[in-house]
Amino acid sequence: MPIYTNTYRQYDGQPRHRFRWLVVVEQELKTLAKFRVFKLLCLAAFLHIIVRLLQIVAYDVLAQDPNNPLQLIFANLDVVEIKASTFFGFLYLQTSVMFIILLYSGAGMICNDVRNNLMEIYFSKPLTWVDYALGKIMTLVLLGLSITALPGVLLVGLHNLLLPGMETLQASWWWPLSIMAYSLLIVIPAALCILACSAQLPSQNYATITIIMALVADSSLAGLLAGLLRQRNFLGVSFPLALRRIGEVLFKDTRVLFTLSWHWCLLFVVAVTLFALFIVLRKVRREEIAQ
Amino acid sequence: MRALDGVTLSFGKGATGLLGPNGAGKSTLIKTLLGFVRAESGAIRVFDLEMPARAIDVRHRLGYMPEREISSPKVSAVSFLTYCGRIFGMSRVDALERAHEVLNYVKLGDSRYRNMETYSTGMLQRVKLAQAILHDPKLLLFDEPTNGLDPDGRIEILNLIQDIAERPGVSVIVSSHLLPDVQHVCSQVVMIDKGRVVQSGDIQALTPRHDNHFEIRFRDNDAACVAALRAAGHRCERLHPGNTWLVQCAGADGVRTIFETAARCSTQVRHLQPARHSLESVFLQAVGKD
Amino acid sequence: MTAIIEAQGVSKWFGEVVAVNNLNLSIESRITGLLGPNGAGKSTLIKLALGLYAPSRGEIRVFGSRPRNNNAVMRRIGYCPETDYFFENTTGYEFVYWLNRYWGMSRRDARRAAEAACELTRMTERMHDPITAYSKGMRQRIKIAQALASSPELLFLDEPMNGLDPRGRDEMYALIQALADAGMAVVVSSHILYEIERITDNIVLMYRGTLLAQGQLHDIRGLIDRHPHAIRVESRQSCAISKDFLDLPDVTRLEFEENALVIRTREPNACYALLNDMARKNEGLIEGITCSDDNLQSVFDYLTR
Repeated sequence: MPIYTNTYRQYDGQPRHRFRWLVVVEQELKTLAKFRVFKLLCLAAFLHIIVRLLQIVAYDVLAQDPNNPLQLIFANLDVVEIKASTFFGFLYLQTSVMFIILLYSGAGMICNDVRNNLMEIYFSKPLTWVDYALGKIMTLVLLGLSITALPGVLLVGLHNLLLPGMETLQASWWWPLSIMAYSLLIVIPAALCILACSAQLPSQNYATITIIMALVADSSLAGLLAGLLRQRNFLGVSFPLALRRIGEVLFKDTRVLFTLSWHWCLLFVVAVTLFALFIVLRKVRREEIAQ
Repeated sequence: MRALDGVTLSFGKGATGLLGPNGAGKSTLIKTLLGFVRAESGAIRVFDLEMPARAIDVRHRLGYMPEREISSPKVSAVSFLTYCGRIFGMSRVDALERAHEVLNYVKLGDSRYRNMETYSTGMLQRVKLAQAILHDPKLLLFDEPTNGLDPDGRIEILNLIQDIAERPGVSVIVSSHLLPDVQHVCSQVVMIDKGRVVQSGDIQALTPRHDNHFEIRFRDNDAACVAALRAAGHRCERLHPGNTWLVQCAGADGVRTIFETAARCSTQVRHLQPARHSLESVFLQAVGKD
Repeated sequence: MTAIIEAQGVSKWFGEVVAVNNLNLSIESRITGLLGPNGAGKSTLIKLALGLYAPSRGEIRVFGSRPRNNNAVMRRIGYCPETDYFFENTTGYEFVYWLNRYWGMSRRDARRAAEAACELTRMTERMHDPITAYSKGMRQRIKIAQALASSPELLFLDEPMNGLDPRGRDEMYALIQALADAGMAVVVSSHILYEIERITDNIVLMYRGTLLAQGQLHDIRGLIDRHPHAIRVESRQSCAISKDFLDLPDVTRLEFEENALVIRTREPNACYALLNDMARKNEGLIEGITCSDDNLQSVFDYLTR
C-alpha cells in the first residue's frame, strides 16, 4: 500500500454547466439565508401571502356556503370579494416588503466584493463580467419575483380550484398575465437601482442611505410640484406612483390617482431601469479590467 | 507612456521570478496573462491558446494568488472554496472534496469551518493560495505571496510554492520585491523596468562567483587582521554589520594567506565563503542603467 | 551609553487580551531592531514608549521620565507608523509643514524644518507634488520626513520597508544609516528578519508579549545552550576530514551532505581551531566555513520552539 503524501490530486475535469451565473445566484442565496434579519423579512412577506390565502378561502369557501354561520358576514364585505384589484392590492402592498428585502440583500452585493478585494479572485476564474453581473441581478430578481409573481399566480390558481366553473375562469384568465407584468415592473427596476448604488458607492451603508434618500427626494419633489402647481399629474414624477399608474391600467382599476397617460409612466420607468443597468454593467466591466 | 513596450518572453516549467520596481509594468504583464488587458501589438499565447480571445479557456488552467488581502466575512473557508470550485464547473461533491484536499495541503486546520472574518493574515494567505491551486492549474501566478506573514508562515508558504513548482508539468511565476524569497523558490528570473525586459535567465548563471573574492569573519581582533591583509596587498571592504569583510585576494593561494594572517594575529576565521554576485546587485545594476 | 527607553515589569492588557506581559528591557544603542511575529506586542511596546497608552502595570521611562502626557519627552521622539493614510490632496511639503505647525512651531520654523526634513529624506524635487502621485517608496519617505520635523533624538520606524521594491529598500537602508550617523537613536520594528540583519546587529526579540532575547545576535546565539552550534564546512574531501572531528570531545553530531560536512558541537572554539589549522596546512582543502544557524531565523526558531 503506498504511503500517503501530503499533496493534492490532479484534476482533469471538464466544465459541467453552461450557466455560470446560476452558481453566483446559488452562493448569494446561501449566504443570505444565514442572516436572521433576512429570515424575519421573508417571514413578513410570507405572512402577507398567508393573509391573502385566508382571504381567498374565506370568499371562495365560506362566503359561498349557505350553511356556514360566517357566510352572512363575508358575503356582504366588499373587501373580501376576489377581483382583479384584490391582486393589485396584494402586489401594491407587497412592494414595500419586497423593496426592503431587496435593499437588505442587494445593497452590499457589489461594494462588499470590491472592498474585500474579491473581484481579482473571481475574475481570475473562468467567470466573465456578464456572468457576474447577471448572477447578481438574477439573485435579486428571483428573490423579488418569488414573493410577488409566484404567490400571486398560485393564488389565482387556488381561487380557480376553490371556485371552479367557467365563470371564474372567464373573469380571471388574464389576471396571471397582469400579475407577471406588474411584478416584473416592480422588481426589475428596484433590483437594478439597488445594484447600481451598490456598484457606485464604496460601502453597503452608503448605498442603502443613497437609495432611500433618492426615493424620498423623488416623492417629495412629486408632492411639491403637484401641490404648488395644483396639477395632480405631477405626481407621476414619483417613481412608486408611476408604477402604480401602470398597475391601475394593467388591472383595469378605475380608482385612479391621477390621469397622466400610462405611456409617460412606462417611459419613465424604462428610462430609469436602463440607466441603472448601464451603471451596473459599466462598473462591473471596469472592475474586471482595472484590477 | 507605455506600460509594456516590446516585451518578448516565454515562461517554461519550474519556478520563475518576476522582479521589477513599482510601476515597471509587472502588474500590466500579469493582467495581460490573465486576459484582462488587450495588447496593442504583438501576440500572446498561453498554453498555445491565443489571448485574450481564449481567455476563459486559459483561466481553467491558470491559478492566480493576488497581492491584496481578501476577506469574505460570513462565509467559511470551505464554503468559499466550494464556491470557487463550482465556478470552475466542478460538481458540488467534487468541489467540496477538493476544497478539503487543498485546505489540508495548505495546512489550514479546523478553523476552515469558521467564518473568514475571524482569520488572521496568515490564514487568509493560505486561503488565497488554496483557491489558486484548487483546480490543479498548470500555470500559477503568485503576487507577493509572503505579504504580511510571520517568519514561520513565510517559510511554510515558500516551501509550499517550491513543492507546487516541482509538480510535473507545472509552471510557476512568482512576483515579489523580496529577493531572498525569490532566490529560495525560483530557478529562473525575469527583470522588468519601465516596460522592458532588462535581464532574464537562470539565477545561478546570473550570480556567478566573484573570483578571488571571499567573505570573511574573524572571531576577534579583526582590526589587526585587516591591517595585515591590506599591508600584504589584498583589498578589504566592510560588509553590512556583523563584522563581515569582503576580501579581494591578489593572486592565488589567497585562502591560505587569510588563515595564516588569522593565526599570526591569534584569532580564528569563523566564516569563509566565496563571494557571489548577489541577485540584489544584479537587479540594482540592471534597473539603474536607464 | 545611557538607556533611552527603560521598561520595568511593564504589562498592558486590553480586557482579557494581554498584549505585553511583564516586560523588562532597556534600549540604548544607535540602531535597534525590534522583532517578532504578528501579535508579539511590538506595536504595543512602541505605543507605550510614545505615551499613547499607559501601562496597566509597571513603569516605562523614556529619556528618564514617563512619556504619558509628557510634552517634554514627546518633543524628543519621532514616530513613523505602519499605516498608510495621508491627506491625499495635499502635497508632501504641505503635509510635513502642517504637521510641524500642529507640533507648535512658528510659521518660519515650520517651513525651515519641513524643507530640512525633505532634504534629509531626498524628497526635495518631488515635495511640491500631490501625495496621490507618489510611489510607495516616496510615501514612506514623507512619513519619515514628518517624524524628523522636530529633530528628534529617538525615532520609531514601524515596518518602514513595507511594499518597497529592492531599490527603495536599498535607499531606506542608506537613509536609516544616515539618520543613525547623525546621532539619532532609531528603533526599527519589522517581522522580516533578514531586513533587520542588514541594518543592525542589536536586536530585541519579542514573542507573545514577552521578551525573548536582547543584545547582539552572536551573543544571543552563544547563549543558547540547548542547541549545539552547527558549523558547515564545504570541502570536496568531507569524508576524509571528518575523521579528525570525531576525536574532538564535544562534537555531538556529524552530518554529511554533498561536498560538505555539518558538525554540531558544544564547543565551537576547538572546532574552529582545528578547521583553521587544516586550512593553513592544505590550500584548497577547505572551500567554505559557515555557521549555519548564526542568523536571525535560526535563533528565532530555537527560541520559540
